[in-house]
Amino acid sequence: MLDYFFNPKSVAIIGASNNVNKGGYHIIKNITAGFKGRIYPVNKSYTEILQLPCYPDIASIPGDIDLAIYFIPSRELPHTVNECAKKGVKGIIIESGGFNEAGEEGQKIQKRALENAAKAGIRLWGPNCMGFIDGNRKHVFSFIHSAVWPDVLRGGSVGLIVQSGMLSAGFLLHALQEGVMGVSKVCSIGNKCDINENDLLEYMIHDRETDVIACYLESLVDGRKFISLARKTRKPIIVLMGGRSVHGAKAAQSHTASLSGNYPIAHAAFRQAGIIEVFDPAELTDMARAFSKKMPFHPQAEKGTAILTFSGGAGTITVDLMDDCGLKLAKLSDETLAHIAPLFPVWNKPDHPLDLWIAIEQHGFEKVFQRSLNAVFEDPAVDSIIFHSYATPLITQDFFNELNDLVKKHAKPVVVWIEGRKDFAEYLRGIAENAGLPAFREMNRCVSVLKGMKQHFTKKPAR
Amino acid sequence: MVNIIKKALAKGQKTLSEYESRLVIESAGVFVSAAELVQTREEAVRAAETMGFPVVMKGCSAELAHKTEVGMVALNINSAQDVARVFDELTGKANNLDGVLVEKMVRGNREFVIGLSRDPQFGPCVMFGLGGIFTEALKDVTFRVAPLTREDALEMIDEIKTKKLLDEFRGSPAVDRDALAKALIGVGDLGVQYDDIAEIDINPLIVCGDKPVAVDALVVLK
Repeated sequence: MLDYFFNPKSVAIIGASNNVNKGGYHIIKNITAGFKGRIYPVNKSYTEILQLPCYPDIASIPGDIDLAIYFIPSRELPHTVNECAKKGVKGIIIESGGFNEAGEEGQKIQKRALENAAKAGIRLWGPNCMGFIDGNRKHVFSFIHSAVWPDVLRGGSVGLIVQSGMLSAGFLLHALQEGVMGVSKVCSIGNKCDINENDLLEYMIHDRETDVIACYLESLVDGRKFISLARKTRKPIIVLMGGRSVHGAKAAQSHTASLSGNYPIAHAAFRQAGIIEVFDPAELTDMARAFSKKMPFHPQAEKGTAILTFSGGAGTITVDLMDDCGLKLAKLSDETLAHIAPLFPVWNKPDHPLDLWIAIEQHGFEKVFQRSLNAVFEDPAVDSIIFHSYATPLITQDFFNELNDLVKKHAKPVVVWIEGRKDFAEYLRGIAENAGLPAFREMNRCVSVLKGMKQHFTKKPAR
Repeated sequence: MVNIIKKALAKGQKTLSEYESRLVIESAGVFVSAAELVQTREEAVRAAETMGFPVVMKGCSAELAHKTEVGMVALNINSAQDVARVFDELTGKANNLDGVLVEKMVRGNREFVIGLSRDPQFGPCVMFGLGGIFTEALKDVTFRVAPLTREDALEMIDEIKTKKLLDEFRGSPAVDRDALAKALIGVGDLGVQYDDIAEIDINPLIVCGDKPVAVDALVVLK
């Protein structure tokens, strides 16, 4: 199902262009960059684009076509659908706007195109969207600027379903550069006149290349189906819902012609289905990236999170943030504290959160971090750890690699918070992420990621 | 159950009467206060004496969705004499009544609401929240999509901000959470089972001792 979108043998680009200032140029440039199948530019004004023969219309293309990408004014769509039907097209991605989101005339066009497509058995994707990107195959079937993605697109296991054009591009670029995160499929679904979030969610749940599914949605086509799909999968599903407020709902309506539903019910339904709800794009990326690291986690109600810090203040704030969202601070055992105590001067007994600064001053960070991390991992009351590190270039990649080995060995995830000089902090965050640990410069992001993971790993099995 | 709904639909009713609504929610596992639908003054007195004073009396008809506003509810009636008088008053106000409901007066200082609605995206949904005079001001309610598991229901109960009212409170015992969960599950199941039910409004649900008891109910049909 839907493979003719993701793995077509041939693609026609209706509205391909030779003009670098136009989206129609970037679509064809992007497709030629990674797609190995047959590519047919369609435009009356050209005989050749990027050394490919250009056809005046669909009918002139020799042989059948699997997929068409539509990037010309909306009024041509109903007719184009019929032309595509004659060439065996199975799916059309409509990346232009001017449909349901653009008043009565646009609505009529969208309706007629849908009727024609239904008759021909063609599935429509969009309109008013940016198509999709397959990070593993480097299939970029989108008008995203052809210069911005090649050096940052990284294949991986995160699937994104985004009901917005710019958001999926900007957000994707941000996400790809924020830390170590690779994407399997990034899908921009726009007005979702036919292909909707449920089709793609179902596809991604079965997609072997996708382990984590993150969505930005402004409406749900069939909420009951969405939650029943979500309930049955073990893959984490993260949702950012747009249009929660009265004014937000109005914005969503003019953006993608979406009628946002009753948010309190959607919120409850997500919780019931084990969907992780987030409230801004950075949080969506953070969560997806953290899950893509596949840290094992066995949270239990009676256990909690341990905090290792170099600052009493940072420890206090972290405990407050954890309390705000219902994360429990672990009750460290006497043995654990006794094991760490020799690092401390006699007049200062370690307590939880573990403020290690005095010990670090005496013994250096390596010895102190190692000994206290080991002790905390061994503590049966601990199911997860928030580790604060100050930014120093002395900490090496090996340190975080070893920390990640401990995460795997004990099945206890670690989220890292790094504070200090910006260049050192960025360096440290990079090596922590490289090692497979989510790392942030903001404490609330550490806490919300851990909270999301805890929610997912306590998800009840589907009925 | 099916019969009540079918008959009401056949008669063109848009809602069930309180009496019919009570039968429907009771069949789904919601505790309701003792009540009897009577046709004569003598039946009313006998019913009141059997269930014990004080009682509440209401004019009962499917056309009376808002009984209090039209003076069709009399609270705290303490004698046979008063029962007889109120019976005459209620029946004198309207001639299309199905009868007069005599209900045992339920006392309790903790009031909640349970509702069922149909969401265009999620279908039948159950609502639970704080009832009584602060319902509108605090809007302390929570939702789940039906059908509910026991866990869903227990989570709902723990989700409202005023959940402390469900614990031991000013000398009253903690609410029987099992009974409350059963009520929530039952109301959700009604929504899943009967397409003809558009809405259910159980308000108030008074905690009497440790039992949540529905003292008024309205089933709206599609």
